Amino acid sequence: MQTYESVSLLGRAMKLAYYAYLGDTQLMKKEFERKMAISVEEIQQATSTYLNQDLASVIYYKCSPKN
Amino acid sequence: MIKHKSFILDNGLQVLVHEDHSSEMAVVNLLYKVGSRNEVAGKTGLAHYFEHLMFSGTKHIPEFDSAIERVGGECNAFTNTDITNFYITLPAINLDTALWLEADRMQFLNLKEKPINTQKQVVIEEFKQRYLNQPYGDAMHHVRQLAFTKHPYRWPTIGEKIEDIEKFDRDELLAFYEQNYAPNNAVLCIAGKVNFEEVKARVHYWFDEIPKGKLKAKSIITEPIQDGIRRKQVFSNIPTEALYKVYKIPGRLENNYLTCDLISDVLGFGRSAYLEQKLIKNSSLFANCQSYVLGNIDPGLLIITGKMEKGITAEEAEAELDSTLEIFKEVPIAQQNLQKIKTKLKQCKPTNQYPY
Repeated sequence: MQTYESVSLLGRAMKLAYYAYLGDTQLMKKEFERKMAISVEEIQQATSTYLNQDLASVIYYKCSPKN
Repeated sequence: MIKHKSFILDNGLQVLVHEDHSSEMAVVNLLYKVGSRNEVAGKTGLAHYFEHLMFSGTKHIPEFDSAIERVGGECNAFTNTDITNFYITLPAINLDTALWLEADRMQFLNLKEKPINTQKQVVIEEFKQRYLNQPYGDAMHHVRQLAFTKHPYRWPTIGEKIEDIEKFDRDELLAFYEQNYAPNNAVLCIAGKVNFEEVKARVHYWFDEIPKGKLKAKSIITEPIQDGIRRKQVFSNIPTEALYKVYKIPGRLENNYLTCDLISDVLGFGRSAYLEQKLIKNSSLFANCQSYVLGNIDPGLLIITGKMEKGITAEEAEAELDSTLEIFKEVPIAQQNLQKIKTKLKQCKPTNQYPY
């Protein structure tokens, strides 16, 4: 992965520490591979599960009425 | 994969070393496993406030920053909901100074009234500038408060309200320090022009004697399952209305988190993203629109947000977003488009870390 984070030394150090905190530095690679393997069907399935109105919260950030 | 070797000290400090001899520099990154998720209501903003205090000197070193600068280094830190992360970049030849300074502030922090008060004012000022005196600046305060009823993700890392920060006293800060700033609650990563065996010896030298902290078992309240949509209007003196629609998703290490992450990319990452195409290019209600996930340890949020064109209400925009998402649910994304997004992600997607 040629992200800024993996290119810069600081980014790499941060990432290593973060994944060690998550419990496994191998996760870095595993997660990425897993994400790249996600299928259209899985997206479809998760979309209906999670983009669900019952699980939503909405903030309407509105203009104050003019005096 | 980033090549590295690791070891653990008897006091529990986890250490990783990544050798890279392509430059003359070294990095010392020290992560403490504490963030705003470890706070409780009424005592919010403490993890971030404490990050500031870590720079205000120890019994031996009056000022952390200038000690680092004197050896040609730079340092900074960030706090998010889950972690507090300190980092130093300096010429590799001066690595030992960085290790000494980090070991020093892990045990000898000078929690005197003066820095406690100074940093309190600095943090309160930051709260006002970034969250209160900025258009839409408190939006995530409202979003979190609505989406979470019990879990500490209910407030942003800066804190729920200024009064919480004002009230912290020295005893509470000392307790927080002892509780969290201990080797067995930290991960140390050293990278750059370094030699593993040498670094290992120096880490032992500086950190071995730091006693293990008495960590309290971290029991964090689980957020109850949501059973219906929640809505709230917020009024403010802003030029155009904004919509924040958020959905509950699994935690960072749970099943389906990565799929939700990818869904947020499909919807919102890059110029050809779904929402950009449907809501910006082919419609006139949204001025802009983003979609992303909070990459938290505990179950978090997928956020869809946008600002409206002048004169358009957030309610009107939501109706259009909803019907767009209904189509998104009905019609599967083309394999080819998914592949395009994945290719772009390989090149440039930043990870979700929220610096403060």
